[in-house]
Amino acid sequence: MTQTNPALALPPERPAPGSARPLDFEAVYAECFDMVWRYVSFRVPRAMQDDVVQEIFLVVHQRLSSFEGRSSVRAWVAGVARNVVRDQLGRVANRSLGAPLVSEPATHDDPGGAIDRKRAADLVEEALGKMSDEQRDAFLLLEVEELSSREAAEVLGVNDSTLRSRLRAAREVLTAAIGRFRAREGRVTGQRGGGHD
Amino acid sequence: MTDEVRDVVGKARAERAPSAEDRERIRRRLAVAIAAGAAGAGASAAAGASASATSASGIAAWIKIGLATIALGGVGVVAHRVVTQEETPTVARAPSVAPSEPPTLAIEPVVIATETNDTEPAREEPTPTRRRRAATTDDLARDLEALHEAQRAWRSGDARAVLRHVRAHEDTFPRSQFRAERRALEILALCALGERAEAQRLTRRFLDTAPDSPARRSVLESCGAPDVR
Repeated sequence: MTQTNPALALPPERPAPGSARPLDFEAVYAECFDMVWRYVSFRVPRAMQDDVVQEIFLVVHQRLSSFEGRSSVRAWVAGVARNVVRDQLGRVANRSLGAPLVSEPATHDDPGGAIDRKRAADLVEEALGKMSDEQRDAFLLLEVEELSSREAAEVLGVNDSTLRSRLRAAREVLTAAIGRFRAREGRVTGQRGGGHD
Repeated sequence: MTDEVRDVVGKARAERAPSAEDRERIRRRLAVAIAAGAAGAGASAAAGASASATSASGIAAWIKIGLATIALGGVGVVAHRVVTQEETPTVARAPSVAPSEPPTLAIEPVVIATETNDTEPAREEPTPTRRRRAATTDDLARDLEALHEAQRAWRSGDARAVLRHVRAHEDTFPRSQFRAERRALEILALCALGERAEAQRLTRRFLDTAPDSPARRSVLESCGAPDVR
């Protein structure tokens, strides 16, 4: 159960003396937490999620004073998140830590109907598992986190043309995953229908 | 992007949005980790540079939160620091603290809770209050650093080393604020070594003594969990 103590309310921050561009950690946390949380949720097993999100913000905290504002804060934090996730996944590549990275596709209880949120997240995760690393990052940053093309290109260190190409390929992977889901759904419907004949 | 793809992405995005509880839980963990890092920085020769960075990024408030959170007993956390080779610009790493003295675990909630209402930036004058707090944060830093050893061993995949560190930590810090996380690491390590019965026994104890620990999920996803998941 979450216990939010009023004593933990953050005081307003003051610009640091001599700092031309004051940037406080609270503001960065508030602005970027949702993005980081979601990004990590699509990239690591659930059991690692808290640790990885914490690690990302520790790195952000360590380096905030060196942030020069050449990119947006979101793009900068996204870059940190991407690197920390890659590092962490490399460390646990051969070790089971609970939930699988990619969920097994499942059938739907409402064939033909709208895809619910849980199923949508599973589908995206299934598609991410079939994408290359480059496609995956392009897709998550642009489509899920809605960074601008310029921001995403900065994070990934590629030009706009390359970014667009990766995104196009990633969308095709997701479209195919949705198609497979619809096909499975159809088979389930057919089996159920056959049972009643 | 087709309408259906757009719809799926939008729903997936909503599904994976953090809850207020997620946001608050990570905030508390971070505050503790930052407070511990600041304690480490204060014990090192690099304290001056770290203090400057701390001031510039408004971290003092988070340090206070971390100390208050620990004093209030509202967190079970392993504060960790991972060296990430590929990350961008200049890096100012908080130095670690080598455990050197037997710990004193008396955290002073009254002093710390009072300071959470202080909106002024931290001052550098060594008042008696600050001296007491420094002793407390040093103890916490040693406690955390010792547990970091166990977590680093876990990350490197050495379950036997995890158990060694956990048991050493238990001997040195029997009343650690991080008992729940220590237990969680022990359970995960036992699972990695195939010692399921012992992992299950410790999991039952963990769930009895720390039912609200943030480590609960990791434990429940380990081999120590009850057979019905």
